[in-house]
Amino acid sequence: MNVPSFEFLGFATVVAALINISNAAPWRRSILLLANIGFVLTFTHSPLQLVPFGGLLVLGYAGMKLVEVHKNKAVFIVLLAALIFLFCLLKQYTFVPHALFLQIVYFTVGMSYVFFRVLHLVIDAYQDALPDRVGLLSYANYTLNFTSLVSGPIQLYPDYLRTESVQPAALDQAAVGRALERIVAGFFKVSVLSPLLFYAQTVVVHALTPHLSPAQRVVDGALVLSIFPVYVYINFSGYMDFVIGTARFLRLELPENFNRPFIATSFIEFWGRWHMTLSNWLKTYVYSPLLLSLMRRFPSRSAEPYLGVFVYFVTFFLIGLWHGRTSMFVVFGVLLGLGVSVNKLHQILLTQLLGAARYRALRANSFYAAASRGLTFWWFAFAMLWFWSSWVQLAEFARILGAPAVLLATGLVLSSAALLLTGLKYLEESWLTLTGAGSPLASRYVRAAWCTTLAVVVVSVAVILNAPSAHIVYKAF
Amino acid sequence: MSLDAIYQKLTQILQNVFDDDSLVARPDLTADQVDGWDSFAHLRLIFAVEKAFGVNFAASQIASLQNVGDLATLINSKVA
Repeated sequence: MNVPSFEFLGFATVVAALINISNAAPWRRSILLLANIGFVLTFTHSPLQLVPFGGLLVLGYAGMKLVEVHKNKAVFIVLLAALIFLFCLLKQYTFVPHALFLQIVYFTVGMSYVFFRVLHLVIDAYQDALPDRVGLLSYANYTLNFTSLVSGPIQLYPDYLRTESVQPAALDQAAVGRALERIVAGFFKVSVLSPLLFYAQTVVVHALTPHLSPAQRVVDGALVLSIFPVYVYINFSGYMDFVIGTARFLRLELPENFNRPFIATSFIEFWGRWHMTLSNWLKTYVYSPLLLSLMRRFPSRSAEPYLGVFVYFVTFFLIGLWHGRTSMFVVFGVLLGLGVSVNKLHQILLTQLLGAARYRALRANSFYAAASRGLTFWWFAFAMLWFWSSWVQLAEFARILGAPAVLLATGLVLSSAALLLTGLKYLEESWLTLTGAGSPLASRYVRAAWCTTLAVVVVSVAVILNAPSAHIVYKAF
Repeated sequence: MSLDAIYQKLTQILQNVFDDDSLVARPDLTADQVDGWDSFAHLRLIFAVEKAFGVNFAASQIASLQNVGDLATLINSKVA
């Protein structure tokens, strides 16, 4: 079953109706479990296809229980290694010997997101950091929660537990209104805006030929670079709007995954606004433990900032690797790692050079902030080339455009992004002021009319296109 | 160790980590209120706290700290 789709909405409506019959935790958990199993089964032709995925879940649960009782470091490390290896094997990473791959068709939807949840439970169980013993039912519902199975967000267990059983989120009139708005906005982004952007991207890529004029090469090169990141943002954040809104009807609260990423004025800040649940997970379970461990091993105050630079690189390199199995994603990881580590190094050096107060004043300078915003977008867009294209395509782009057009296109993206994204930031802030409490634009009638319009557009597009629901970029992970 | 003593020691650590003698540890102090308190500085602070109090924190405990009050409570639970 695709998410988002009208089919999914119908399914979620039935589950919401059943789950809200009673507030009793056992009832809610049981209905959710049935819904989760039912949802997973829609992706398979035979229950046998679920066995490998089930193996990962069973190993995670048994491992969590084992380290909860026996705080043995060696057992913990072996378990972590086994989970990571099993994940890489099932996801068929290219560095795993091909002969080890399972020669059967099996279920992998949302496996990466489930893997993060399982790993977090095992680590927290070992560190005695879980709020309570994790029951089998809660474990199954947490890892397989159908509202966030396909592409996240990656919720941590204590947050999930709070709304699943301890304190379900209230579902009053205001909450229903907000949830409906999120669903409609998400559907609109995924079904209308993102296909348009994808179409634009496809047209521009296909239009790249050696016969273009030099000026057209620069413009098309800039468009090839810039459209895809915007498309991914609209597509993925729309999906998030949709599932966050849907989950609210089950009285579950999912964490936000995006916070206006393109207004960020540094690559590090960008990752605090983009796919935030993944960034936070890696910050908690990779960046922090690794940096603390290095600080303990090399206790030098002057070396600490450079250890930070190194660990930033490692963490974001891993983010890149997580995204895919091929050499393209190794380069993607290197570029992400370079982005954050050079950004951190720049911060350290400028602070040393100017002093904290003058560096703070520089960051507050509008021109510097706009230029930083443009640079951040450009680097992200550049790194994303290795996310969506192939080596053959990249070579073709380079051959058609030529070095001068590539350089000029880079300049065009940098300057346009600085200008447009700064304009967008001020527009957004003005819009927030205009739609604040007490404003006529914030009235429920205006919002209902706006949502209805978006819903009509979504339904119309669905009827006209008469095609399967929109593709979610992150479903592949 | 009393909470007052923990806050006194935390004040010294904060001043040292952020190189700012005007900083005073108080329960409602958050990262947003201190210039330069990013994720890297947060870990330098945690490292300094671990050394000063002779404690160790779990990954999720470090991530869940919302303010200095949470940090003091966590230290208190470890040294008690």
